[in-house]
Amino acid sequence: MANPEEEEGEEEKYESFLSRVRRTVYVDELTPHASKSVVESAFSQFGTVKEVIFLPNYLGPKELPTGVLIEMESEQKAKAVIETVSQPVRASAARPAMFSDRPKKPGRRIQFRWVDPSDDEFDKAQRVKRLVRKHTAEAAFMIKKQLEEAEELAKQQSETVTTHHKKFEMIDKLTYDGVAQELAGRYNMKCGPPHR
Amino acid sequence: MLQPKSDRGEESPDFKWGVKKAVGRTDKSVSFYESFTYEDIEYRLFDCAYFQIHGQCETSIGKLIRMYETSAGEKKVKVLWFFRPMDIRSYLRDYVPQWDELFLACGDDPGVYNINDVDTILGKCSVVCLSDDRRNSLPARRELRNARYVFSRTFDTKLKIISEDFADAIAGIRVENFFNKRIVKDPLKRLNSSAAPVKSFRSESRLGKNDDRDGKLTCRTSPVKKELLADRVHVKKYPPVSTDISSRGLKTKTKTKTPALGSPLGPGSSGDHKPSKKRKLVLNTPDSDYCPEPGENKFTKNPPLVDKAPTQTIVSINFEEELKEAIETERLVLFENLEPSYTSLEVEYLCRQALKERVDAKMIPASLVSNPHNGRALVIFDNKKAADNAVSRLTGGCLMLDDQRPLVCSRDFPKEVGECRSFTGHQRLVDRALMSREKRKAVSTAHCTQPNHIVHEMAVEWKALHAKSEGKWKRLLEEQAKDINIIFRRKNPKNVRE
Repeated sequence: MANPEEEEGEEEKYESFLSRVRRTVYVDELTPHASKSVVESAFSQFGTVKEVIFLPNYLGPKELPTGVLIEMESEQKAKAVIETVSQPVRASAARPAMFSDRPKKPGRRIQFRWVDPSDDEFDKAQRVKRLVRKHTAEAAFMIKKQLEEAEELAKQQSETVTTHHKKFEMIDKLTYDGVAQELAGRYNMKCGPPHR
Repeated sequence: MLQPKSDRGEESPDFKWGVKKAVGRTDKSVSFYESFTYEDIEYRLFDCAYFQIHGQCETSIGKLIRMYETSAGEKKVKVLWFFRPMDIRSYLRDYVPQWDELFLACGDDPGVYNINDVDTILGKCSVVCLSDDRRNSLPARRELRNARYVFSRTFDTKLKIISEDFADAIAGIRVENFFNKRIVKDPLKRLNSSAAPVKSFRSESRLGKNDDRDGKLTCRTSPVKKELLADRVHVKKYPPVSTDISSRGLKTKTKTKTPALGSPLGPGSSGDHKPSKKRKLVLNTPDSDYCPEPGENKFTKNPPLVDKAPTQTIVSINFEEELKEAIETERLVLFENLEPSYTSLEVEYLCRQALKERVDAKMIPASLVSNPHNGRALVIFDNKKAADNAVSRLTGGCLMLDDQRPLVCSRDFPKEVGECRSFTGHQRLVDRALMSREKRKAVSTAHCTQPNHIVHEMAVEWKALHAKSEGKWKRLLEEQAKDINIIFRRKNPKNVRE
């Protein structure tokens, strides 16, 4: 098999993959209860949804919200989604590294070498390794903190909402019972008719 | 390991009996054995083999259900036959068999089994059972990959029907012997069993017929990227060869070794077998097998069968199960500091070249909170020892990848990996009306909330939170990139990572 042929084939594949990436929206902060069909129908208001891929969560904490890749039919549609979609769901442009089934970058050869301990690069390499590990730990910590913050906010909102809800209920009830009208009459205030 | 018990004179040098099992009840001079070695291949009871039957042009595949030597010194085997789809094509009716599917013979007909001389055996054949019968243990991914054929149905030669049900005994042999045996994960055993199929491929090459069959399948260029997987799978049996993996044209290491591969297995032909096997994999055994390749749309080029989307969920479920198992058996290692654009295949290839270990790897897909410079992959080794070795080599020594990246490996990952159970940000409300609104908020997003809607306020708060987190992440990543650069600058002023 001739090399240039292969290279071309690889390039093509990668190009088509890239155009697919551009058409895809990465959505996260999605509820894990959302099923594929739900997501599809939700996003179909922006245009045809070609494919929905749920990203697996292998390593992260369990509470990390699901990420989904949604492929639209064109790049513009994808952009439209990104701009319109609002909270708490979050949409952004997809990146190649998000696709598990990505083709490899064309023309790349995996190269490696074992570095001997006597090599003077060895020491630096070990330092880099330690650093990388430190970074991972930092990242994990960050995620944890963010999850905590999110939970805080959710709790807060929950309280607010419940309170509001109670208030509305109360008002509704009063109006329905006619109590509000009576009070209005007493205080010479206007009050709308009971509604339900 | 086995003492030849035969006390006859020197037989043909190719042949040696193994452990003696029993002596004939009626005729005491008949000895039954559990195994024999013929032409350097060991055949045990209930192994499958290819037979050259006089008068037939295609080889037959059968299971050795008895092996014995008569008083006259004749070495015989009792063979229970498998039918190829071709053989029973007139009885297939609506059933569409898989590419390498066979049918186990059963029934009262005399054609179910035969007694043959040992020298009709051409070679060993690996056949694996995919039946759902509770007495059958479905094969592990590795076994399935090593298997040449599969079967999940019987063909009754008398009634001429194909059936999924297995009777309790066939030809007087308990049916459990026809199913896959529950194999203990013994690395030694695995080595032995993987040695044999290699031989069987070599012996295949001697058979012109089989080659032709393979030849028909060869496609020269494989447009499907997943053929790479197929080739890789086969190639793993020939350790020096890394032909068709990430780079067909890789000239460096494989130059000296390619002649060794020679003809027996054209990469194209093996490629064609494997994708079909993977096809079968998904259809028949969704929970016990997993396709190591993360490419979910590998089947696109193998019409008409599997749909893109369903395949994918099946595959990812399986990998998670694999993951759990690997964690328990301590075969899982986390690789970090890879180039994020690496694919899982490339990681596996890297392991094979650098560590000389066959692994299953999966790149962890990026997300908004993953480091854009640091790619990570989960790597499952074949056994704990291999994993330990790799970890010690990689931590004590240093494997340098492209772009001055030393490979970082570790064994710490959370023990529970799983689906997200709870989700913050969704409120449960008493009022059903409000509740449905909440659901909608999660799902349909283009409903731009009006400013006076309560949901809008909440949405705004979430947006603020997200913005804050994103900002924090950016800062963190910048800091980290700076750290790495400092080391590199000291290392080599020219190679500064951006």
